[in-house]
Amino acid sequence: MSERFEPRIVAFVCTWCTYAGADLAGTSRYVYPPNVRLIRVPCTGRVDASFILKAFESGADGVLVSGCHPGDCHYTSGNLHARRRWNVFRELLRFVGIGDDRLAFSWVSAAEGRKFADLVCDLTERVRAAGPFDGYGRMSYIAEALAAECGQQGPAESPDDRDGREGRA
Amino acid sequence: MNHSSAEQLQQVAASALAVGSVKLVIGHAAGAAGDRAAACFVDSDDNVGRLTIASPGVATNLAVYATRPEISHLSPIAVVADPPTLRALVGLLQEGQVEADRLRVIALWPQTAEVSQSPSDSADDDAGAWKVSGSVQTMEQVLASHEWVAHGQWTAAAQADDLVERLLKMSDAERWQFWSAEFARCSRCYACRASCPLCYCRRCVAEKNQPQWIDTSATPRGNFAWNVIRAFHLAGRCIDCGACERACPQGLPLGALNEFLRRTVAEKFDYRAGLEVDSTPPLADFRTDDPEEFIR
Repeated sequence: MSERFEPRIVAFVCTWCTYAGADLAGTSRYVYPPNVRLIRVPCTGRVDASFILKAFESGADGVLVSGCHPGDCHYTSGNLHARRRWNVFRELLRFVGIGDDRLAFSWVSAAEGRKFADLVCDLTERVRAAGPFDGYGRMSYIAEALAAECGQQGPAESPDDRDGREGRA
Repeated sequence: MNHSSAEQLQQVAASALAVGSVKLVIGHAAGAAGDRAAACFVDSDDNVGRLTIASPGVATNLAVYATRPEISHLSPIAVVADPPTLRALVGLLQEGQVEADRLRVIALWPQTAEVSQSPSDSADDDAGAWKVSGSVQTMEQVLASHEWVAHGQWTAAAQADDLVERLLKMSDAERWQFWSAEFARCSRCYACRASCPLCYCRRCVAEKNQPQWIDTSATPRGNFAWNVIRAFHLAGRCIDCGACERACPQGLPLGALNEFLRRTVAEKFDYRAGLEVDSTPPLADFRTDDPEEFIR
């Protein structure tokens, strides 16, 4: 019997709201799973689409982006710009094969410690159910198979397992 | 190619160059093979004989040259512009990449008012079925007088429709499989970027290496990141000329990504790129009541 899968979730949180909300969750002693790694950014508007892709590339099984509620942004409209971007980028990610089960967006204010804890609990369960994200590992095999078909050399990159331990045979 | 149209184009270009009302005409010349067309830069009325009319279905989008620093000392410049090229020029004006004072066009528009819904077929069959505007015009004049610019014929979208529909019926894993296999062929030549009139950044994110967001060698993950980010940077800005897909030596179905994003932006923000100089591109804008059903 294998151990329970513990997903790795990368959370980009804004320093003014969600980071403080997570802090409050901690000082309030709310329990939430340790699967989430917080990355503090000045504003959700700072979260570029490539951050999310890079997180998945680097072995994340899920990504959360969370910031101030609309109207509460420290920079007035950073979260509103971000919302537009997510509207489109989320669809694009789904179109290339990273579904909603691995991606979450939320508004968590500095007063919503409870909401943050609940959010992380739910997301962890959701990503756990989705299983490890092995897309990039599969990608290398797909590329190699194609290259072999064409009688070419495989790609320079070695098949990428989650911890980088399995080199090519 | 329709000779009378091409001759008319040459006359318009020659007279503008002769009197100096434009310093450079950017048009198409016959290409190396078949119905291919190459870009051609004419700065003297002696050389207008090279100009010809190419079909939007096979040609590069000439708007891509309007932002090139190599010709920034020449003003005004005239671009021979079919509808996709006009939409691209609208995008460049909208984003402040070309000064309206510096830009003239020799507009091409269809002979028949009734245009086929199938851009590739109609365009390929009738490369010469174009009328040439009688003189060099400003963009303002063209946009005021030809509502067909906005009608959105000659888009690359229709060709990608079937593939988009097919992909939408797949599961996430199948889509990942599909795109992984497609992007695996990418050789990272950046022809998609070079051919795109709206991909004008002098320093592209693909070349930035501190930090390096996109792996530069043609590895599966780098290819995936590049193609996804390229498409996303054009979301709400792509004017659907299809130049990227035609330029791709590996035949990647980039049009499907562009078409999917075009649909998404149209659906969510009721916006189509390349029609209005005075509008704001949707991803550079926001509304307080934007959709957020997916945000918890």
